[in-house]
Parts: sequence; C-alpha cells; structure tokens
Amino acid sequence: MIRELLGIMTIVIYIYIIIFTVSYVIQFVIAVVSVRSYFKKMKSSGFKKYIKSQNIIPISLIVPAYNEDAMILSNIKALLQLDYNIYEVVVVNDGSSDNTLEKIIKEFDLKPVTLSTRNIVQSNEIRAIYKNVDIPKLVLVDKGNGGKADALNAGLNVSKYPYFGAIDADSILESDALVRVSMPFIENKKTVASGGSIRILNGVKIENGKVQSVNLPKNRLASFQVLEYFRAFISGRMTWDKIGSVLIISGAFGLFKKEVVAEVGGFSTDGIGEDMELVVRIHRHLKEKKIDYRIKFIPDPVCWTQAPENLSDLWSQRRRWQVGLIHTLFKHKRMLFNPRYGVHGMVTVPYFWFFEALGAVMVPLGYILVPLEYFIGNLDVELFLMFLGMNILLGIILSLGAVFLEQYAHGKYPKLGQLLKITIYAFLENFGYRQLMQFSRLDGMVRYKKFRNSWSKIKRETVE
Amino acid sequence: MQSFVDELIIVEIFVIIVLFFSLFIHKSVAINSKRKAVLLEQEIAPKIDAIVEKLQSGVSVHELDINQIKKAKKNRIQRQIISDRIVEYLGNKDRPFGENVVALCENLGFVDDEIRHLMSNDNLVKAEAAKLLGEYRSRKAVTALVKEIVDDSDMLEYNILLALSRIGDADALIKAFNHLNSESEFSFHALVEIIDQFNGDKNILYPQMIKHKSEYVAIAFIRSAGQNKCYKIDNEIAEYLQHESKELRISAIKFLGEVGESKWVEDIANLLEDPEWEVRAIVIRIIGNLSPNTSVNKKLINALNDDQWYVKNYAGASLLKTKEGIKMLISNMSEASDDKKTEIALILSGHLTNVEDLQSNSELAKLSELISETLKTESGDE
Repeated sequence: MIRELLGIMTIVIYIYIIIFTVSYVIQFVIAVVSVRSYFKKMKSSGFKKYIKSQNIIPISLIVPAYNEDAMILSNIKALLQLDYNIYEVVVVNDGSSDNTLEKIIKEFDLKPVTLSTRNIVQSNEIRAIYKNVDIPKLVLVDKGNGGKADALNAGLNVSKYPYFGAIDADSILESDALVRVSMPFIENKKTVASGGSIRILNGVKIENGKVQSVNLPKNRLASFQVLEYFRAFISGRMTWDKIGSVLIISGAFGLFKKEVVAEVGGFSTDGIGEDMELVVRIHRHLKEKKIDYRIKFIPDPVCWTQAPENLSDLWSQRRRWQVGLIHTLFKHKRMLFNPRYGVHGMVTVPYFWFFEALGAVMVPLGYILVPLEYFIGNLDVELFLMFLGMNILLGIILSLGAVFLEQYAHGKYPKLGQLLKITIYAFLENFGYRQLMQFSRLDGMVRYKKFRNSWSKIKRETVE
Repeated sequence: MQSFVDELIIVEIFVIIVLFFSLFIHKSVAINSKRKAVLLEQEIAPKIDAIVEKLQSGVSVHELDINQIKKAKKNRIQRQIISDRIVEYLGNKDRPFGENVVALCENLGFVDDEIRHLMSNDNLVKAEAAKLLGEYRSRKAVTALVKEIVDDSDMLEYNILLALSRIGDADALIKAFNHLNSESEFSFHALVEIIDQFNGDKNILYPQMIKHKSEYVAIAFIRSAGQNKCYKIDNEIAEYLQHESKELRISAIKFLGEVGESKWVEDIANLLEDPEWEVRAIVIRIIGNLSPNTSVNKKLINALNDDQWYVKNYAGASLLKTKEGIKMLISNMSEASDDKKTEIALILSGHLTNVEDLQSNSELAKLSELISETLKTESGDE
C-alpha cells in the first residue's frame, strides 16, 4: 500500500516538474520575442533627450534605511548624481541602532527643519526631518522602528513629488536609471508603476557613486545569483510584461504614481514582501474599479544591488522572499481563478500559486521521495536518470538562453572570459545550489508564521 | 518512450552546444564591432567636422569631400557614425545649426533614405525614420511626415509630431495636431516636450494652438508658452481665468504667474474664492510673487479661513512676504478668537525660520513675539 502510494506521489511529482519546466520554456520563448521587439522599439525612442528636459515626471526617491551604515553614504551620493532634472532623495532612518543617522547628518551637514507633511498614508510618528539648504534635493527623515513598509510610508508622507521611487539602501542606481524607468510614464499616461532589471553589485567597481566597471563577483554564491537574476529579470518578468500582468516590481527599485499608491493605502505593514503585495493590491484595486491602467517592466538594467555572500544570509533572504510571496497570495486569494481580474486572475496569480508557491513544496518533496523509493526498491533507476538528465540539460539551456539574451540586450559584462565563467556556473548550479535554494523556500513555507513580520538583514560590504 | 527521451537528450545537448557557440560568436562580433567603430570614428569624424565647419562659416565644400563621405556612408557602421555626428551638430543648442548643414544631410541622401523607410509596413521602422527625419530637420520631409500621421501607432504619432516640431513648420504641426487621435496615450509631459522642441516662429503657433479644440492640447501649449517665456499671448490666456474648465483655469493662473506682471494680480486673486480647492491652491502658491496690493492682501487674510490646510498655510506664507501683509497679520491675530489665533500662529511658525529677517524687520519681530506668546499660552493651557 505505502509502496503504491509512494509510486503515485513520485509520478505526480514527475508530471509536476514536466509542466513546471515546460512553463519555463514557454516563458523563455515569449521573453526572446519581447526583448527583441523592446530593443527595436528603443531605437525609435528618444529617451535620451529627456535626460536634459524639464518635461519629465518629478520624482521623490524614497530610501528606507535600517542599520545601513556600511552602504548608505555611497548610496545617497550616487542618488544625488543621477542624470535627471526634477527629483528629491528622501532617506528614512527607520530607528537604526547603528550609526546610520549620525553618519548621514555629519556627512551632509544636515540641520533639523520644520517641514509640513501630509499624512496621505499611515505611518509611525516622525521624530525629525533634516535638510541642508545647499543640498536641496536631500531630505532625511528620522522615525521610530516600524519596518521597511512603514519607513516607505513615512517617506511617502514627506515626499513632495507626484511620483516616487522606492529604492533599497544597499543598491546603486545607474545614472540614467530614472530616465529609463520613467519612460513608460512618458509614453503612456495610463502607466501607474514601472520597474527595471536589477543586477548584482558584488564585483562591480563603483567610484563616487557611479558604476565604473562591471566584473563578476569573486564569491561563488554571488556568481550563482548573477545567473539567477538574468533568468528572473530577462526571461521571467519580460514574459509577464508581454501579457500585461507584471505582479512584481522589485523592492530594490521601482517607480510608482503616488496618487494610486495613496489610494490603496500605501505599503502594507502587516507582513514582509511589501513590494509584490503593493503591486498585486494596485492590480486588484484598479481592476475592481474598472480603471484602464498599465504596470510596466523594462529589461534595462537600472539598479545594482548587493547579493548575500554567505549561505546563512542567502538562505534567510530566499526564505523571506517565499514568506512574502505566500503572504501576498493568501491576502489576495480571491483573485485566484477569478475572471473579474482578467489575465491576473486567470493566468498570473494561478501561475504563482501553482509554480512559485507549490513548487517550493513539490520539488523538495521529489528530492526526498526519490531516495526513499530507491531504498525500498520501487524506483525505476533508468527512467529516473533519464528524467533527471533531461531536466538538468533543459535547465542549462534556459540559463544559457538567459545569458545570451543578456548579452544580446545589454552586453554589460564586457569580456569573453566573464561570459565563459557565467556559462560554467550555468552547469554547476544544478549540482547543489538549486537544491539548496529549493529547501530555503520550503523553509519559508514551513515557518511562514514565525518569519512573516521580520525584516532580516544581510551583511553589507562598504562601497566607495 | 526510451528512444524518445534519448532523442530529446541529444537535441538538448545539441541546443546547448549551439547556444554556447552562438554566445561566444555574438560576444566576439560585438567586441570587434565596437573596436572597429572606434577606429572608424577616429578616421571619419574629423572629415565631417571639417565639412561642417566650412559650411557653418559659409565656405564652399569641395565635391570630392562630399563624395568621400557618400562613399563611406555605404558601410553600416560608418553611416551610423556620420549620421550621429551631423545630428550632434544639428542638436547643439549653444551653436544654432545652419540650413547648409540640413542641406548636407539632404545631399548625402540621409533624408531620402528615411522618407523611404517612412513608407515601410512596420510601424517601428516608420517610427525610427520619423525620429531621424526630425533630427535632420529637413523641410523636404514635411509632406511625407504629415501623410503618415493618420496611422494609429502612438510611438509613430509621437515621433512624427516631434519631427514636425523640430523642423519648425507651424502649419504642418498644426495640421498634425488636428489629426491627432483623441485616444492617443502619450503623457502630458511628452506633449509639452514636443511643443518645446518647436524650431519655428512661436508667435504663429502658440496663439492658434492655445485655442485648440482639445483641452488637453491647449493646456500643453499654455504650459509650453510659459516655459518658453512666450508672454505676448497673456491677454488671450487671461481669458481662461473665467473658463468653466478647472484645468484651463489652473493653466492660465500658472502661465500668468510666470509672466510675473502685476496687471493680472487682481484677476488671479479673485480666484481665491473659486469653488475648486485645487484652483485656490495654485493661486495661493503664486500670488506672493506678484507684488500683492492691499485688496489682494485682504483676500489673503480671508484665505486664512479656507477649509483647506494647504490654502491657509500658503496664504500665511504669502502674507509674510510683504510689510503690509505682516501688519495685517498682526492686526488679524489680535482680533481673532483664541482657537483661530492658535491656528494662525501654528501656520506662521512654520514659515518664520529666517532669523536675519526677524532682526532687520521690526514688524516681523513683533509678529514673531505674538506667535511665541500665543503658542506658549496654548501649551500652558494644556
């Protein structure tokens, strides 16, 4: 009886993994078409003229900072040098226990000011606001610890412009990032949010807040993540953009219309994963109100972010992502297979439930079941090895395809040797790395309740 | 089953090998093209610069030099370098381009090439051609561009309007705007950018277009007129102060505020009683910069009772800008009820941060004292 049950479960997992893999192949094909047409379109777009133009959308960049004294100064310096005419940088110190606040005040010679703020969304009380008349673009907000979402909400209340960008304190923006990400708003007045590709900062040389040269990280874990980010951003999100159903705008950097975010109540403070949750809530709200709108993803790499370099940080980051995903999916469960929400309800949300949420259980279950089946003599070893080989090879194809797309679209990594190294990682990641990441996601599922409100930190390296 | 899986694995291995080599070939070609482009640019750019220099200074260019460039243009990379270089000259605002540089573009065949591309069936090819024609600024392209505006691609529509604006043909641009699809989705910022790029006689274009049948277009022209300091049309725009559309009223206030002439101050101040708070908010933002007189200051004092905090707040800020306004504030605070007095004190305290002003202006110092007293009493009561 148990043998039969295990046998059925194994077959179910085989079928699940086949469907899972096919969905990735479909995504990749759609991404190839989308990337090609995007770059064809960019040839006729005059986005560069907006770098010097006054006719741009005014943007407040909100930087929530909690114990970020390693990166915060270089991040602010980079933000103050962006090629954009109308913007401000609102740094929100979320009750840091390190020297984040003091470092910023000292470096930029900030003084406390009285600034009228509008409580357009709920946030913890603001203790003080600091400015320097010689650096009018910079505003520092000090508030009690309330989590990333609460810090973003406080920043929203202090910000003065009708559009805002949320950016992580451990990230560096490309100098033309704002122009690129604001283009969907310029091109189409129905755009309410947009996001671009994120790349791994480790190994990249930064001077005075600007990217000087792009290298691969020396750390192996970070190198695996370079590849993962290629896959996630170029293959994954381009596909969702193509069908008009972007559900995630990375928390590292995204641009939003403030009015819409205020209308839905700002960032949610009842759990982590506030970036995805906000986007899903906007979709839901606007669909319910039958308002025509667009949320866009552009494949241009606009932001460089630090990747964890040790296993414990990486594990906790992935667990957090999974917890955030589950939190969002449960919170908006009524969207699942609900035709009222169009493609989001019928395709994207079910996809995230079936593959991104359930996958975190099904795949590790397969890793446990196969040895079990083997020990009780129930495993068709030949079939399993063929299946495994087929899947690994397909995984390598998809990874190489993502590297190819990155090279075709941006060619950010300038040397042949760098590409060779990335392709080697495309082979290596199948032997340990991918499995570990699956278990970290499973951990997120199992310990969802424990971690749903934690805003965990990874170790940052100082960048000059 | 097994043979199918075997075949699939062979296909996968084949795809991996193909992808692997394609990747490296693509990268090698890209590196090589980049290197080649740098070398070619070093070779060809000085020749273009010399020709443009001659043209700009009115010296005739030898046909042989032109033919050399024409020959170089046949190569894809060199064509791009030549085009980019000329466009750089044409787009240089510090040194206005001469018609002879545009003529050079025509002579080299760039304009004809792009007019031909404009006839393509692919909207993205058309859009790119329109973009380049705008950059070349040749009047030769006007008819072809206007003909294509009927198309329904937003990107194409945008690039054609921008091209006509850059070429500077007011009649063609007006015609194109009249054809503009009412469903056009590009933003207001994009529209103003198109108008700002206009390279012809603005005194012909703006008076007509601020009266455009589409309110959206009319407002974009008013905004652009303000940004480009085309203040001659202030009388026409002032008519919009009484318009039923809130957006048009707001645009007119902003424009007249930018003109900065006090002759409109009374008309603008009257809108402090506008039923729409957004209109009142705009008035209050700009009125302080228009040398308000006694009657305007009285209206600002009344605005301290507005039901919108934003309006009250900026009414206080505007009153603080003039001596008369400060006197009126002192007298108003002295007569106000305790609650109102506290509210005004709170508003004003946010704007009284400049200590030097307090020392040099006795009225301001008196007001500051009154505010401190009021707020002290208030906190004492609590």
